[in-house]
Amino acid sequence: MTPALRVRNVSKRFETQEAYAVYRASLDIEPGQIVVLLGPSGCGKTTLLRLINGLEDPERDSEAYIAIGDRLVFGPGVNVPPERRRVGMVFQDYALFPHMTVAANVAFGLHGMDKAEALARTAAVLEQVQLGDFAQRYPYELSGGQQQRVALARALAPQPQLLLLDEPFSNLDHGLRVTLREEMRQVLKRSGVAVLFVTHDREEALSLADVIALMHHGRIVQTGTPRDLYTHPASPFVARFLGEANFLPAQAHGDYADCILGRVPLDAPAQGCIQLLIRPEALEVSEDPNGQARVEHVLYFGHDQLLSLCLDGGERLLARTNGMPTFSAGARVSVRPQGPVWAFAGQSDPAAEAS
Amino acid sequence: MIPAALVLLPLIGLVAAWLRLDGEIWLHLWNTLLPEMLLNTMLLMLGVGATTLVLGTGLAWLVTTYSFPGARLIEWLLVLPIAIPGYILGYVFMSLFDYAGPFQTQLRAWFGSHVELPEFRSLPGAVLVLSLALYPYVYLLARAAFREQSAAQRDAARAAGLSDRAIFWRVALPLARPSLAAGVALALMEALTDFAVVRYFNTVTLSEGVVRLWVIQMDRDAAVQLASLLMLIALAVVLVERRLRHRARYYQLGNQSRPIAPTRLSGWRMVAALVGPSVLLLVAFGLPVAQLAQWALVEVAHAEPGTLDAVFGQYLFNTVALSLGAALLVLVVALGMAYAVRPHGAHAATNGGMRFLARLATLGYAIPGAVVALGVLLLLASLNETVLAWTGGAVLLSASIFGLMYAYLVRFLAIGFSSVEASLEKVTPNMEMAARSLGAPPSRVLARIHLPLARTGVLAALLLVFVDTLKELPVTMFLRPFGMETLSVWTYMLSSESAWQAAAVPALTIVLASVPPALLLIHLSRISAQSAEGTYL
Repeated sequence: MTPALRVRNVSKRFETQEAYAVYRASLDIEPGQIVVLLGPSGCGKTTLLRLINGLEDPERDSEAYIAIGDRLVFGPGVNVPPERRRVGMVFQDYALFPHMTVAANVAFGLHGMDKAEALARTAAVLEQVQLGDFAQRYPYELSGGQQQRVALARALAPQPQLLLLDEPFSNLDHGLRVTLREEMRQVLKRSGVAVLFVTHDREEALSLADVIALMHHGRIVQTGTPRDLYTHPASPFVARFLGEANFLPAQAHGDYADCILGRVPLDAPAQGCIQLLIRPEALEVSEDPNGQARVEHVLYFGHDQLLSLCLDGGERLLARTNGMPTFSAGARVSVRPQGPVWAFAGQSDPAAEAS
Repeated sequence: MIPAALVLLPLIGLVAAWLRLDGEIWLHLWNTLLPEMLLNTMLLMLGVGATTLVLGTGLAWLVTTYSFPGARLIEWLLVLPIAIPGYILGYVFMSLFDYAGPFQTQLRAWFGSHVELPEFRSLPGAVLVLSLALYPYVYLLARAAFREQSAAQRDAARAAGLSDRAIFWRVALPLARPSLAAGVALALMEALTDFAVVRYFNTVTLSEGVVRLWVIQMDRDAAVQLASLLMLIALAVVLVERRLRHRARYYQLGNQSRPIAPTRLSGWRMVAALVGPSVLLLVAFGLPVAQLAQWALVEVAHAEPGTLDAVFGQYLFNTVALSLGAALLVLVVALGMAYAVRPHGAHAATNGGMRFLARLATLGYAIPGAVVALGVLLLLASLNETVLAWTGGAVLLSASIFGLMYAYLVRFLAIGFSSVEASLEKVTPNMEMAARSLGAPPSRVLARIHLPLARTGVLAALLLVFVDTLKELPVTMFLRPFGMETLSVWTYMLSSESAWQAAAVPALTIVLASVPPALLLIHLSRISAQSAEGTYL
């Protein structure tokens, strides 16, 4: 089956800037797949989005091309204008047309369709996002969450092969986000459209994505499933971007390594000096007067808690436990890593690189 | 960008006059009227600047900070004097308050013939007339600025122990400074353009001098030299205004927070708040309109049947046709320009160069009408010569509708541009991109998104330019095709021959046509002080 989107070696540099905003990015999206483009602000993810929908022109390069389904929209000698790429787009500020009703907004992209057909399609899409009763309202009469769903309906109405979403949740408050996220995932999955979703929120990315593409300084540094990226990050940067991480220097001997916490099994065999990646939740902490660490302080979240630990050698570790046991600052604890541990080669402090 | 070049070309011709400085002309000017013109122009600017600043700011403070019976009505009415152009208010005042006028005659009848007021036909008289006609510019912008200030700022000042008076001087006034500077600059530009009022009041100024050299003495070279000096002064006003604003764009954090609750006035303060503005309105608007109406009625009653109708009809037709043409032309160019400089694409800042050009293109508003007319005439004359040299046939461009329309465009592009631009801002870059990603090519985006959303701005631009052209005097007077009279030219011709009664018919027509846009201005400035400030600059 042809991928819904193929991006190869696409670059973009703005006149006023020295560095590339996007450098030789390549990406595939299968039909019906949700790919999340994740990265810190300014990493070039929005620019990549705009290159895909044609609002920005990539650098000319004989190896660069963008194909949507089986149509080449950018490549040597080809540059299809945005209005003919048939890519749906949902913007951060929704960009609803304020002078049109909800129905007129949704029908905007159905220009050229038979009138009765367009009406039916509009009604159907609005029903899909549960806004059937709001067709004759104006955007300013709607709540933020409703406006977002209108924007989604408007983008889905012409049945695009590919839908791009640019941080659509960032204008909503946190509680609402989590509910709407699940709703949106269902709507998207039901419509069968291929989705490229841009965000800087790792929680959003991990929970929404089939595949995450992580961007840093204009490059896509790793692509994979959320679980893959979280447990097997390609670099300390990826590791840190997806969650809290401890890095411990260790000496590898094939399947296992020795570090300050003792001997640990390795996820992949290695030799020599390595850096272990230990997620806070992979540390088992228990109250122990003879333990090798001291609790410095506790961040209590209710369902879990984050402990800052100081080892006797002066090293600091973060550990996450469930919310049940009570730890008080100053208490002595013992720490033990669980399960096979992922590691990076080299001795340098990855924390410095990650920042 | 073409519009910028179009607007700047006539002005460049005048700047070029500096390269061909003619010592003899300047020596002659210096020995005759130049010192007096310069002094009078400076005094006029000082007088009009100070008076409009005090009147406009004071009245705006009154209506925004206090409540009293009729306050809302007075707030709207106070803008009305802007509907009477100086050359009309001037001649009505002349007839009412001059030595032979009813006011002084009545004074003599009451107090004896020895009563003598200072000469009314003088510089102070001209300052009074122009200030009464122009203070609404300051009033409009000051009022909008005071309205935008939030109650929280005032509360904070009050909590810090400042009295109402101290709040005015130390909080409200400094915050409003950019708007006040813009308002006074507008009034000064209008005062610099005027050549009619100062002529009624026997005061020679630079504008008047340009007109005199050009039309009466037929000395075009000298007129050009003097006009370039006048242009320099006008540009200085723009620069000083920018300087006063200098990064002093004060933004409200967040949206308009709680509005200021006006303080209720009572007792003698309430009476004073009612009587003061009422007297001003009576003198600056009520009385002149009543006088014009009375004259017009008498004129219509005594006119030979048919003659007035025919003349009036013809002139009205000319005026409306010219004004409509100018309004449409300005609108088309303004729309094109505003569309070209709208923020779009990821890096909206990159069209900063375009924005600068657009600002240059709107400079024509600051240049006195006589200077613009002269500049256009010079440009077209040299164009004629070029065409003549190339084709061997003469194309008379100068004294034609073409030249006139061109000059109107130079003068009024700023008005059209800023009101269209402000309304195009409602279309965010994302809206435009959303429309395109939904399959709409740029033409359809323009028709379905930009134009509907900019509708009010487009209508406002049409109306404002229409009425400004309708009452425009210098450009029309000097560039109109031979024999093509308009209401404003007719009014001026008759009134300068002291045919006051006859002049009342076209004058009253102009005033009545100018009332709706005056009210529109106050409505627009209510929407946003920011855009009102940009209405002309």
